[in-house]
Amino acid sequence: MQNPYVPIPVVVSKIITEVDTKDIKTFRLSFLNKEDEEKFNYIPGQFA
Amino acid sequence: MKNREKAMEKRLIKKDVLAGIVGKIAGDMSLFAPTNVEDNVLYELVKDGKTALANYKNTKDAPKGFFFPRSETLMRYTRGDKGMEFAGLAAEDSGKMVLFGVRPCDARSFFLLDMLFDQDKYKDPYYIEKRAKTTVVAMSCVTPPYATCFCTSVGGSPTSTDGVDVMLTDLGDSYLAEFLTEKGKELIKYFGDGKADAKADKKKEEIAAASAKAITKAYPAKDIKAFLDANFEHPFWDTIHRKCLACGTCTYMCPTCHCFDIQDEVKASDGKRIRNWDSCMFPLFTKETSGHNPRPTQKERWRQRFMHKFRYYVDMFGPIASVGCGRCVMYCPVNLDIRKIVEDISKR
Repeated sequence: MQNPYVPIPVVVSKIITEVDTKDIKTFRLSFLNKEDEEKFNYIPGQFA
Repeated sequence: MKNREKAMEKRLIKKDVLAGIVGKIAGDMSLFAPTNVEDNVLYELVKDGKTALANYKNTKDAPKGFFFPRSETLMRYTRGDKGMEFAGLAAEDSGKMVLFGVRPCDARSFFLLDMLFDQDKYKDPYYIEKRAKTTVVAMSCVTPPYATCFCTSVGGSPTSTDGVDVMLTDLGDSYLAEFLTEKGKELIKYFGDGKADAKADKKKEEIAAASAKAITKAYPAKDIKAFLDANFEHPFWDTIHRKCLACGTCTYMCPTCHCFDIQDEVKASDGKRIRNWDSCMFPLFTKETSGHNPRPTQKERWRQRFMHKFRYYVDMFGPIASVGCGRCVMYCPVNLDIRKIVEDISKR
């Protein structure tokens, strides 16, 4: 059984500042393990 | 449960041997049973079968906490050379457990919570593991214990076997024990060889019918779905929440409420990720990082609580997410009565 609460290791590969007030940013994440990337499915709320 | 067997085994035991049976089981595995704790009846770890109550109304707390604890460590992490590193799951092996004397309404809450925590698209390993290790021994309600009981309005009954592995029914001078699942049958050895006869079955049927009939008030909980489907925006929602204190007592006492929050606790280099009960009655439950709250007042929070039980759960899984135990009615400090809300909606 896959445990949805076990975090998957990633690195922050890029940070994009989206607005002049600098309070909204986009973080680009890259998986450290290829197999994690292949198994990963994005679900809304995952990064809350 | 999924492993419910059609061919059921039964035993008839004399009343005075029950404490001995409980004591023997408690000697072999962890057994929690309703006990007197000052003026409350609470589930406690029992070693001596005599401390387990056989005559009680219901426990103050719902037993959902055995499978979905108020606070539970999900995993640990530690600071390493390259940042935070996963340091394993919380190893809390509880071993085999028996929950003894669960009332049928509360056992039905396990049946309902299984639908959420053990569904095809999402499996909660923490809940599932504890559930699999636990045998639920329920005690039929020969008479409905409270005036606030409304199990028969929401799909249950005083003798419902949903979520039950072994069902005990007080027949007067003896208990009928029905072993309903494979897990339940593992306990049969403690109950001796006294086979139940047709007379015992007939008495059980009479008790089941009389007990259900004794809940005289019926609330049209299943008939309000059409109104809920069509009236997310309706002036009615502005009328029910005004006296609510937003204390969350109803959700904490409820056997089926299951909202949670996840927090990280860090001490020096070691961290724990912890799941805690939360409540849709609290403003912070839905407050977003930006400061926006999609449920800005108690109106929206009450609508959510009500809709979740009587509309969303029905849409997702079929049954209403209430077992009719009446705790929310009994313990609400301002007497907000969910049964009355059901009734009021049914008149619209």
